[in-house]
Amino acid sequence: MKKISSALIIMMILFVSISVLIGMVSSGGMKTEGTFFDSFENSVSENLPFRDSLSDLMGRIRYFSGVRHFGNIYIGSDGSLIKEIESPTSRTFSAAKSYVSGYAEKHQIKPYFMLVPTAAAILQHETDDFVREEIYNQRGMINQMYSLFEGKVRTTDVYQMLLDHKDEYIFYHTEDIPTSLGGYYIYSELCDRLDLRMNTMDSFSAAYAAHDFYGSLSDEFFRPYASADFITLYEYTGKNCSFSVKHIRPDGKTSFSESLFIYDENALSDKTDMVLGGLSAITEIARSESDDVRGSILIFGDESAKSWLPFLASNYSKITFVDLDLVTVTMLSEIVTAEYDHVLFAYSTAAFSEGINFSNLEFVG
Amino acid sequence: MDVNSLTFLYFFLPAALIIYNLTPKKGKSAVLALISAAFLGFSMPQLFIVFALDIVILYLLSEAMAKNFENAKARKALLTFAIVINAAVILGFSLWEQTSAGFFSFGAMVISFTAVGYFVDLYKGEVSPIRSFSDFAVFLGFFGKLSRGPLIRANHIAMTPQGDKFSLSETGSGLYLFIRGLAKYVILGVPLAEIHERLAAANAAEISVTGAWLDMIVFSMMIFFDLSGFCDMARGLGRCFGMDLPKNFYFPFQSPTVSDFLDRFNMTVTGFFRHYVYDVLRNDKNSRPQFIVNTILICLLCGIWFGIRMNFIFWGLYIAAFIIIEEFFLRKVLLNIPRIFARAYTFIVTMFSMTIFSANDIFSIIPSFKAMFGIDASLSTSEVSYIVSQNMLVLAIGAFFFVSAFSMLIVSLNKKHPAVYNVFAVLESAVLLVLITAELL
Repeated sequence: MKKISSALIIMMILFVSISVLIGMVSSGGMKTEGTFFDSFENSVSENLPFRDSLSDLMGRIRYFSGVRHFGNIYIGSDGSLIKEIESPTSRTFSAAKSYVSGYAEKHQIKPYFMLVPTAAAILQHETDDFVREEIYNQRGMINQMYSLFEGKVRTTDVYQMLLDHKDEYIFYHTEDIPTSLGGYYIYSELCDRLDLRMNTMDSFSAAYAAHDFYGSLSDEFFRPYASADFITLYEYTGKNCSFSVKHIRPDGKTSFSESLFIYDENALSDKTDMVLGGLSAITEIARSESDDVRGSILIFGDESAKSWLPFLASNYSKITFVDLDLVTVTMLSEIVTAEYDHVLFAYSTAAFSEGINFSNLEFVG
Repeated sequence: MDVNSLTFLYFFLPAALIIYNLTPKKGKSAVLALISAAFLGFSMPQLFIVFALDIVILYLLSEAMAKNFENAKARKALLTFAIVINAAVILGFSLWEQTSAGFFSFGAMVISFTAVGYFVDLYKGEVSPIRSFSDFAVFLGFFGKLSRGPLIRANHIAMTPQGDKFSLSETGSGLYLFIRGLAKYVILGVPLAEIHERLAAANAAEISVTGAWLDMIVFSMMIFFDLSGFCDMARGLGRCFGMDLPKNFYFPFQSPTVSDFLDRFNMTVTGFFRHYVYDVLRNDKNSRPQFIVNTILICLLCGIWFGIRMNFIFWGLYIAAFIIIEEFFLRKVLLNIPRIFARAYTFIVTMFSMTIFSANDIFSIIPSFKAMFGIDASLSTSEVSYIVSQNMLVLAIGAFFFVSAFSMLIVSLNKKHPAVYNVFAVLESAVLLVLITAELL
């Protein structure tokens, strides 16, 4: 091999080595995660020149070669990143039954229980035939859970409603939660079940925000082939009312907001937190003007509630949202179940399958 | 740290090359031994002490044999001891692999078989003892060949570091060879291994004709790109550090006979067993029974090289059976029919051998073979179709580089148009580096 060719090959390697070294030094060394060499390898990877372009290139090559799934995420024909849920264990079902029923008996109430299917159930038509055969049966899972309650809990089924609107933008392409529109359909079912007067779309003004954003799923998959998302914020226009939101963090710190929405998307890493500013260990939504709305509801739920809570807020003077995985025992003991007109358990099938800390219900006052 | 990591490619290798080339001639061997020790320590820290002790003990035995060369009894005892130690290491690692906690180490196989060959040659007086510890350590444990080989013999004089001056051309061509080997493994070997895993799982759930055939072809390609990729990396690294390591693969699935296949597949290992076992056992009469026994033994050893497991033993027996059939019945036919038919015959026979090679247990081979001929199997399953649809590009590129056409084109280009070849080598290296780096992110 000629010297000039050899020199060019050596220079290519040295160029990358030096660039990575400079990157590592300027970024303040490497983060220690796992073994020394795992950390070093990660650090080299993070500081590679043109890293994003290389990542995009790999994504494009894989997509071109026919790859449509990575790990448990499938890329739909419309660019949706569809995340398969874990199969829940029998313990997941029995724990939910036992603790929720126990809570109902203890407080002499009949709570509502809702499992919201994810895109992996509703958007199956966007995947390949084989994927459709293999994907976990969320319909069966929801039915199984509901039947276990044996009438002690009032269940709410939103599966068919979402399926009827599967061709609309009801799930984010790059986040595993429903959009605000999806949330509206869930809200409509909730109103029916909770016997509330439903506020139609005319009662809300839509504001489009956070155009062309990519959510957390796109980090794990091929961004070039995922469709970008946008957020629609539906603000209640009925009556001259205003909302306030109080966040209680797991460490006990609190923060307040005078709106259901945060319009400055740049302030948020998770764009879906534009709704309510995200959900905390405890999130309290209060209405200032409640002429015709006096009810209150205690909700135990997960992130998927961000899609429908702003709609439900128009029907209650007070909503207390509790994340059982974040809340502390002390916070739970300060909640008084009897003060609420309704109690609702609302989880996405994904969160439910991963396991909810229902045992914390024992501490709710 | 593996050879196929960003850390090795962009840090360990450049650093090792700079240190090695800045070292004066006298110290190069010691520095290369230290670099190999560092690589071993970084890549297999749990085995470092075992390997280091093994090499030290073997060196002491080599020294003892050198000093007692005239004493036939002592020489024989030392040879026996050396063989026992190495056999124990090989058996130990193979048995360890059978347990859930263990894993197979080609490094142990490479060191132990190389050592056995060296001691046999030394015993017979065919090689001079390697007196310098660093030369000895590099001979047995040069980091480039620890992943998959090749096996070398002590009279392969180019093994000891010779480069006294930095050679830009040698380093460049070594890196070019290393990059090509790395690309074979990272861009084709690893994805093909993933496809094989998925096909094997799909076949385990519901076996189909297409699934069984496809898995056999994919596994054959995967083995080829994995083993030949690592061997190219070893040869490239050897060239960078002034050594000329032998080729280990030469498009074995294109062989005109199964016997030829064995000579092209893991050829340094086959050559090793031919030299140290076959030639020793062969007598002047060279009778048919002798040929059969020796062939079976060689093929069994070639199988056991990959681990002491039933599927590798059956693979060896299967290959041996065809070599024996060829020797006594088919040789004339294969030599007289058009080359393409002979190659097609070998291709099919050796492909089938890969079904045995890949089997996790010996009982899973039968359903695979039955399915290939449509017995108790559907034509295809939706899962197999899905796997194919997801991996069209890898399968197509794998099939293209599985045969020698491109490789021959490059060799021909180098001979006829060296200037064009040099430009091509730089461009190819750049493209492969980009793809390898992107794949390793």
